[in-house]
Amino acid sequence: MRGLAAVYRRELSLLFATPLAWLLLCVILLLNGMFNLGVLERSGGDVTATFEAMLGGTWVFWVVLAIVPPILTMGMLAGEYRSGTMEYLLTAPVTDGAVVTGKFLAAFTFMAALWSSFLIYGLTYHALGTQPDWPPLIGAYIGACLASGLFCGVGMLSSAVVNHSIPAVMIGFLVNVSLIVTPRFLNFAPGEDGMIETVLELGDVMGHFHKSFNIGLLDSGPVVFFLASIGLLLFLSARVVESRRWW
Amino acid sequence: MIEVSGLTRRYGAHLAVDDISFEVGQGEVVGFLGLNGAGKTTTLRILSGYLPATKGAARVAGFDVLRDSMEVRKRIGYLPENVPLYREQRVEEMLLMQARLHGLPRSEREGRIGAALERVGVQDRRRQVIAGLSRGLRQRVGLAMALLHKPEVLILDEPTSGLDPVQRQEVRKLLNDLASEHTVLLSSHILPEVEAVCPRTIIIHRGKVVADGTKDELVRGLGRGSCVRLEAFLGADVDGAKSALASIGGAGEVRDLGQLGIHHVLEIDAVEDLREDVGALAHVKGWAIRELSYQQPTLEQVFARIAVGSAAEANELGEVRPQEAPASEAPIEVSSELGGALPMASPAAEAPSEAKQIYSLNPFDGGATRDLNKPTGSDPAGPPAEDCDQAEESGA
Repeated sequence: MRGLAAVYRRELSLLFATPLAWLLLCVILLLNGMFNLGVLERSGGDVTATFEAMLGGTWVFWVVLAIVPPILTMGMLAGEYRSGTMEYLLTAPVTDGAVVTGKFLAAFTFMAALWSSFLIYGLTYHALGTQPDWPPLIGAYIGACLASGLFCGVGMLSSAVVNHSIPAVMIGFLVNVSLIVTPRFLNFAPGEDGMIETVLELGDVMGHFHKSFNIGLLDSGPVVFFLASIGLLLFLSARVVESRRWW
Repeated sequence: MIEVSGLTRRYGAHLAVDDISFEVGQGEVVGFLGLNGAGKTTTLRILSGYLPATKGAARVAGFDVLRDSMEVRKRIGYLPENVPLYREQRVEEMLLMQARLHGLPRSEREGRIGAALERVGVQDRRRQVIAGLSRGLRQRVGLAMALLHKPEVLILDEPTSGLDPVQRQEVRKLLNDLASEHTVLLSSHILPEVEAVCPRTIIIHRGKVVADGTKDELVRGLGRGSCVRLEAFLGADVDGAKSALASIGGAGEVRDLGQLGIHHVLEIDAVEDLREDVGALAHVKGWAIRELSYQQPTLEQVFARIAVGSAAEANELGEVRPQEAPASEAPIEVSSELGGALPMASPAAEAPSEAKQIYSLNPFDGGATRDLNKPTGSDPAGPPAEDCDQAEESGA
């Protein structure tokens, strides 16, 4: 546990020690702010509708979700393998699982901080006199964090299987995009109820997100779905790290 | 402290470590010697818990490296060969992370970090970013990391590679200090280093332990044996002289290496240092001695013999000790154990038999030449001093 904390601290400080995190934050916050204002204007000042659109309602949200987590996680394991520092971590008294989890939590924290900008917008509107609909906003925030966690998990796994950051980010991005896009094919076959459709529906990240968080409902089903997926991905990453000792 | 039995590690078809076994006791300092690719790093990685073994078992501080990996990791300080440090971190941040990973109490961290940095002599670089450190400094920071949690066992992979001679010296001194507190297993392909630091050496070659013991044991066990070398003017009865030498208690075979100028070169196999006896005999017989030395094979020769094979050894030795070239080449050239695979040996061995003319340095000779193989006189007291010099020059 203390090993996990040490890995987490170092990873988080590393994220903010490199320009990458600041650049991502800067660009995304700028875009968020601009879109937020734009959507607010178009909706005629409907704060609640604006948040609904910004958190999950538009493609921008999902593109950010597909791109940013792999960028954060790309070097976390692959970079360690490349520079040889994995030998240091894996001979320190910390388990493989703790290494993977600590690193994952650092990326997760970053994403949570990133999405918290919406909470700040909400507070700002609140202070300015227009009360946003808080339950869906908070629900969407939690959902955004959980979905980010899932995509960070994908990033960790892709980072664990390769030696370089670039393939890691590419694999992660492709998997994330396919996780978001593939279930959309269901739209072309409405009413079908075969095995493929069931699987697609069960793994539909966007669907789970919309069904619950975006309407201000913390349904245990989607929460369990996200937590279980994250757990599975981290477990697989740890097993990959372990098995790489044999490569 | 370290027990290794039947350890084997394969990388695909390549057998990196082949069924090695050894033990290292508490407080021992053991050098792991081998050429590049001999399996040193793989073995150390297995001991540190980084790599699993294909076969066999290893225990460190009483714990199995595979089953109780965490317990082992807590008790070892491991410095990998490439010194993995996070380049973007400061020295003290790196050490702080190590302290956290090892769960050092918050109150002790600062003191321990300071002590570790001071020990390796980099306390003035605390705030420096690791990427900006030279290889030598990084090596020391790595050493500080390995020492930080006061491990029972130190496993150091090539701790002095990439260091300049002064730093090497310092690290050696440091390792000597550490020997009193930790069990140390260090690897190196640099022999003088192992010789200087480790009382016991394990030589590994092509994944197998080929020798294990103290320097003296290795030299005795694997060396061709020691001998007394005598270069002297023996007068007319050379055979008589040889049999007289052979009759000395403890003397083995007496080998005649031919003549060097007026001097006969003989080697007497001897386990003990027989110089006293030979000297006494020479005094009685009135031989004029030019050289009387006791020669033991060095660890370097032993290592070279194992690692490179005997043919290359002669070459190697010529390079290693140029100033002693005639002395250390000769025993190899005539050795029957090494077989006839020493083509380079013949010219030097035959040199004395060729009629060599050199100019006399005697100012009263007027630069006359003389045949080196011909004695200048039968005076048992020996030739004039200048001739000795000449003989030496021709020999070199």
